[in-house]
Amino acid sequence: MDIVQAVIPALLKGAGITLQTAIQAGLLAILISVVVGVFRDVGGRSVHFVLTVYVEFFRGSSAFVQVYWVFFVLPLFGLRLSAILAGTLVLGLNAGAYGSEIMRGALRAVPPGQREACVALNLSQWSALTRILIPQALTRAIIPFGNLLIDLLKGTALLSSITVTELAFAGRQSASANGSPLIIFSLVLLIYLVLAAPIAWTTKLMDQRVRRKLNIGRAP
Amino acid sequence: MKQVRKEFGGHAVVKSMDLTVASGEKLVIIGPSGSGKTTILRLIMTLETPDNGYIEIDGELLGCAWDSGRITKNNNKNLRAVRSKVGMVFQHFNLFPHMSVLDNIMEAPTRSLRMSKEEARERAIGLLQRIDMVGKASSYPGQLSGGQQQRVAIARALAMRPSVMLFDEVTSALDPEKVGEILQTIRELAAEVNMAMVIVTHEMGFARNIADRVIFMDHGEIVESGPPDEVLGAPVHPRTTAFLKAILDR
Ligand SMILES: Nc1ncnc2c1ncn2[C@@H]1O[C@H](COP(=O)(O)OP(=O)(O)O)[C@@H](O)[C@H]1O
Ligand SMILES: [Mg+2]
Repeated sequence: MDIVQAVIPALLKGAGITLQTAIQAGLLAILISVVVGVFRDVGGRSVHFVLTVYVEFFRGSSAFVQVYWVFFVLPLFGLRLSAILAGTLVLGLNAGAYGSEIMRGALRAVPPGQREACVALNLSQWSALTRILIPQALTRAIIPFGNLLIDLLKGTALLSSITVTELAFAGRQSASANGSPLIIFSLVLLIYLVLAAPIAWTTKLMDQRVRRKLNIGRAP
Repeated sequence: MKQVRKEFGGHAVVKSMDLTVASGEKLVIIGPSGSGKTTILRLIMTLETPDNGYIEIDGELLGCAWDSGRITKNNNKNLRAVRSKVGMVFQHFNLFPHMSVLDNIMEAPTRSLRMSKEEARERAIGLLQRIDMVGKASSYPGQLSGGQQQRVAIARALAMRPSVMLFDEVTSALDPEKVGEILQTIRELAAEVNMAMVIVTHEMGFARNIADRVIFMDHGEIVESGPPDEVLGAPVHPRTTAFLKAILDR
């Protein structure tokens, strides 16, 4: 048990950085998801093109290389970001690319009758989107967005590759300093679980509440 | 509407339709399934654009404009201004499921007519009283029966005070015992407000009762048109006779 007491402070500090990065990157990702997901279908052709390039770039290339690129290559062009900021940006942009596809699918899943009702009530396209279509899409996207955030939380381990002492890296450091990899990495796993559980619970609860309120049945 | 034509995949669903609805007139359109009734309503509601011809509301062109003697498409400038005079009630209600009954009714007046919240709420409550549903103001559509939802949908469309209201088989998705209450609501409205109505229905008793004029459509064309007693009671065209007989035999 001494070993646990010895390493816990370092692990918790790492967990704090993991959590902070995940929250910031998560907010960025959700924002990007909604904006990109909506404007890929609603904006004009050039908007569609630019956003498609963004999505395909981040989905199609390795996040490891992206984070190296931002951290080691951008400085060559005079843009030097802190390791945490670089990691947060890459994580957010990455998850945003996936999330925008979730949002796009959810928008398309809103029944056509809803759009027709918006036309029949003479709502502007902006009102129709912001008041009717996006809110309904979001109610369908709660669970997938939750999964995205959990993936993002686990993905913060990526930052260890650019010297950020987040949870996974803190675990590795503690293990090489103290030995006992079994105990230390089990602790690390446990902490990841504890961090992820609230996301899963909260989104599940939100989803159930929304479904009950709207009376749209259980999740498929 | 003048010489309006609409094709889907090369097949003319509405063929050169000329149709005028007088202010306050109650027009009923009947006809077999697939004859183009819904398409006509959707054209008037701008949910479809005509391939030929044009539609005017109160003398203003809908979604198009005259350009040196020809009609140009997709003039969106006055589209919303003209469209605000048209309302529509759908077969499947299409209420907004994430909003309460009250918010469903208030949404368009506040957003589209830029009415104040208080005024819109007053108008919405007035309409809810008329359809006898004040008690359900804070319910969500998913908590209501089909008949209740359709009454709310009617109130929601009425809140915009359109000069013409379109009804597309508004009772055909309802349980038989709920049909009567909806038809009653529409009948009362028809008697109260001087609003033109274009009603697509298979309820012949209701059609006869409410209509100033009945049109029988088949294959995208008007086959017969006239007062309900003539078209429904003594049709001259064999296709009309056959259709009415088929409906009665059902
Ligand atoms: N969006 C569409 N795409 C292709 N075909 C359509 C579309 N809407 C209607 N149709 C076709 O047009 C015809 C007339 O349809 P509709 O106006 O709904 O008739 P009704 O309401 O009289 O039953 C039908 O054959 C239908 O299949
Ligand atoms: Mg129809």
